[in-house]
Amino acid sequence: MVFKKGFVWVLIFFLHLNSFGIGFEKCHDCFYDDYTNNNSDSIVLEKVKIYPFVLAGTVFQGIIKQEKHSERADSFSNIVSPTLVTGIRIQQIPDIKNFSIDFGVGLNYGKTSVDSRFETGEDIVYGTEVFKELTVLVPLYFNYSFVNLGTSEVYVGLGGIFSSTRQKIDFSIMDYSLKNDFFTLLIFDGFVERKNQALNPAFKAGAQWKKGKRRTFVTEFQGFFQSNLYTINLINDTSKYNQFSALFLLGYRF
Amino acid sequence: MERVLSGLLLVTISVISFSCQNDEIKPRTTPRFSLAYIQSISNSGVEFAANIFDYGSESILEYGFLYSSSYNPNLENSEIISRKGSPPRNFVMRATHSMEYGKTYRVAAYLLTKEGLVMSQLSEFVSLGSSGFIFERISMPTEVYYGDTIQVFGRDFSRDPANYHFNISGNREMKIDVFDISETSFKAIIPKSLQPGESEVARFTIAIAQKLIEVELPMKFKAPVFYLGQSPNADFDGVATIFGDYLESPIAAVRFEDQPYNDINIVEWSKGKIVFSSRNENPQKQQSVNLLIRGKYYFLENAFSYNPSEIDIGQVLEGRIEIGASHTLTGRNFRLGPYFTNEFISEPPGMSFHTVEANEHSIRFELGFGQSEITRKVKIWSNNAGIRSENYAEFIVSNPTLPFLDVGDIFGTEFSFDDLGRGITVGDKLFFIWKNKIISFDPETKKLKTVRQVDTNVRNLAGAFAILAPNSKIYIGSYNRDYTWQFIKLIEFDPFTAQIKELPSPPTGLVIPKYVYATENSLYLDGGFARVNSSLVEQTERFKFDLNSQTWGKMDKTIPLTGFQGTMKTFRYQGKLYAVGLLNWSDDFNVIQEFSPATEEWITIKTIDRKGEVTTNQPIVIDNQLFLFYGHQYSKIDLLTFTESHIRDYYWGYDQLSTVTYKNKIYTYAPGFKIYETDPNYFTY
Repeated sequence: MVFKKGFVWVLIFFLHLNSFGIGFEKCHDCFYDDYTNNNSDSIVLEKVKIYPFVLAGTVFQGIIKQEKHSERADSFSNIVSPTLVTGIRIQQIPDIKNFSIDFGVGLNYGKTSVDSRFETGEDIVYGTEVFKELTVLVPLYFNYSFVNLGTSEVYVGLGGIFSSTRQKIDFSIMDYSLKNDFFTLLIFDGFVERKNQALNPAFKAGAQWKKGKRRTFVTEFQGFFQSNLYTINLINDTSKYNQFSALFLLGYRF
Repeated sequence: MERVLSGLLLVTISVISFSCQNDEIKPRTTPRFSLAYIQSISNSGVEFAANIFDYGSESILEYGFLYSSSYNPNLENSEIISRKGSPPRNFVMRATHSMEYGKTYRVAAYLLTKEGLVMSQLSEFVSLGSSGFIFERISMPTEVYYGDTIQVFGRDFSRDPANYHFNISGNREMKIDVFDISETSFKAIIPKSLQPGESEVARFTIAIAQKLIEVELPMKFKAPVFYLGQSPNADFDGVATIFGDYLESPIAAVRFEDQPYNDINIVEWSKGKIVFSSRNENPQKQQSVNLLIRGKYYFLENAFSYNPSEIDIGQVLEGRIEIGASHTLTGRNFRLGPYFTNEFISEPPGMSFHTVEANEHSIRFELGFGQSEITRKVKIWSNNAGIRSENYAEFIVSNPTLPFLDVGDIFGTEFSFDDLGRGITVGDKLFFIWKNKIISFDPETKKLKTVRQVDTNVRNLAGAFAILAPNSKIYIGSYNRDYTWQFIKLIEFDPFTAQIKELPSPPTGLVIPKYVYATENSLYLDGGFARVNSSLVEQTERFKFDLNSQTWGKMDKTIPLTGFQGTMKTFRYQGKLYAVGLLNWSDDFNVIQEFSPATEEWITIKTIDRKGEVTTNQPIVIDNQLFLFYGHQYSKIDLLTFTESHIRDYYWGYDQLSTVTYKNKIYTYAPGFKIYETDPNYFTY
């Protein structure tokens, strides 16, 4: 429940982004001024400029087979989930033109269900597991702007995302049937095992447009790869899956 | 800007759809439902609940819970509470039996579909007890037997056989397995270990989980049935069989009729057959037995018969009847335990048998004469249990002496050491002069006849002597041992007319003459001992009785003093007169003397290797052989050569004075017993 409430709070924060305080107000100018005047009003570390950003969007999870028998069938559902990322961009590093660093922290919340089946000559196992995942993402990118038109910019980045996930099983059941005995045993143990912490390689492509004096509209596509993320132990058979996560994000930088 | 946005979105979605994992899964048919939730636990039971998640596509027949103390509860070993049909989404049921206080049980929710059983994982709980079962009745046949099924009816019975402790007759140690268990009944087999009590009431103990009920109900066992005619004959050392039905019994015994404390070794005891050792101390032709079956005794008269002991056909044995001489017969079915109880019969009857060894194929025994008259050839049958064997063995008796005739009471019925008799052989006529009777004896007809009884005050008619004279008359000397009458009375007995005549007494006080003998015309009394003032004094005088003139005369010649009271026994051989005996006290050996008619003197012609006194009244002459019996020693003298042979392995325990001979055989009356026949051909030397 705590998890759910937190998510609602984040959503409200995202929807009312425009009315968020005076502190940001100041930066609208900074962004613009610093870009032109080197105005000391903005947040400046020597010549380096730091811009906070907030992005929200959707994660599409792509499950990729790593290890699986042919008699085995696994089906994942609900692989689209909302994501919020906030962080800072560090720009105008001396002598490195068109280069920037993005560092942030994000949250991703999803509810997934896995259905599995495995059949041998003697037995059939069905499994269903429904679980929630709350993931904290810590992305770090090194960006290069290859189009810079002053008011708009297109860039790509490479880096990594550290992810830490809490998984909570809502429902889990395995139907273990012995064909010859006409007998089925229902087992209520979880069988989907997830790797909880990982540092994953990531890349992104993004574009931004200056909107008004202090805001810049940002859209980004990010992708990162998690190997051996799910191990599905269906009583007597194990399959393993990687995951490719694609994030489509929209937001502002200030 | 819109172009860029949609471009990025497109890239994202295409990446995802390219890499997406979504296998097609065959649809599942079984229902899905929850664990059994323990709603409440009390001392009367437990309440379970479960939820259906998914009814599946199979048709549901039944739903409920199964519980058990087993680690692996299933439909077989668990208690079941159930309802028919398809369950509601939530269902609740209560278990009220077969749970013990403090014991851990495991419960599963289950659904029974047309395709089989679907069962949830187990939940565990600790019971606080349960109300238990309700007993209603026991159903069983009116007459029962081992192996019969009894059925107990009631409610809320446990379905787990392990929860049952059922027994009959209150024997808590005996746990009877139950089967065909349902919630309302179970079955059990009457075990062979059940020993029914005397009252035909059985106590049933039904204990399920922690509840125990004891019920007493009439239970009557089928009575045993016996098929007596079917019992095969038994060997003496084999097995006997009794056929029947309903014979089994945990406590069982067989006893022979006359041996109530001897439990016979049982070989087999089954429903239809009793096999036991037939070894019997006292077997009967028709053997009756007592059987102890289920606490009751059954007397089976003539339950079985014994096979006769059989001896192999055509066996001929030869040997002596005496202790230490054993004889072996082959055959079968002798009595081996105890072997000495084997019985035989003989023809002529009356022999005694003493078995010294018996095995499966032969028997060894010693023989005794018993009270019988034995012929040289005896037939022997085995006669165990009074059943005579078909075959007999012939036994040729090689004892020189055999019992010949039971004399009855002709010799009297009371006997004393003072009684005395003498045997006299007159050709074919045989006489025993016993006390005051003269008894004739015919071996051919085995007849004894009192030919003369002398009415006299003399105890023994032939107390002094009895001799045969050449005139074929018998001269008898009698005297009394009292002090008043000191002279021998002389009596003449004519064997052909049985007339007796008293002759003049000798003119001497002689009571123990040394020689008594007769010639054609005279009877001689030579020396001996006379009673003088109540003591015996040796005389050397000789007296001669003239048989013609019937007068006594004293001879001029005397005989030397001998110092010995023993008499010289006289006999005739080929017209000559001989005497045999110990002449002098100082002599070591007997001598044979010949009488010289010319000089009327005795001349010693042979010394024989024997001491003592010849015990027969007359020395026995058969053909050319002289047989001398000394009581413990026996000799044969060839009268042609006067060579002597010692007879071995022969012993005669009785007085031999009453000895006669007939057709080369010797007959002796043993005072108080019987007449024995001795065949000299069986003497060994």
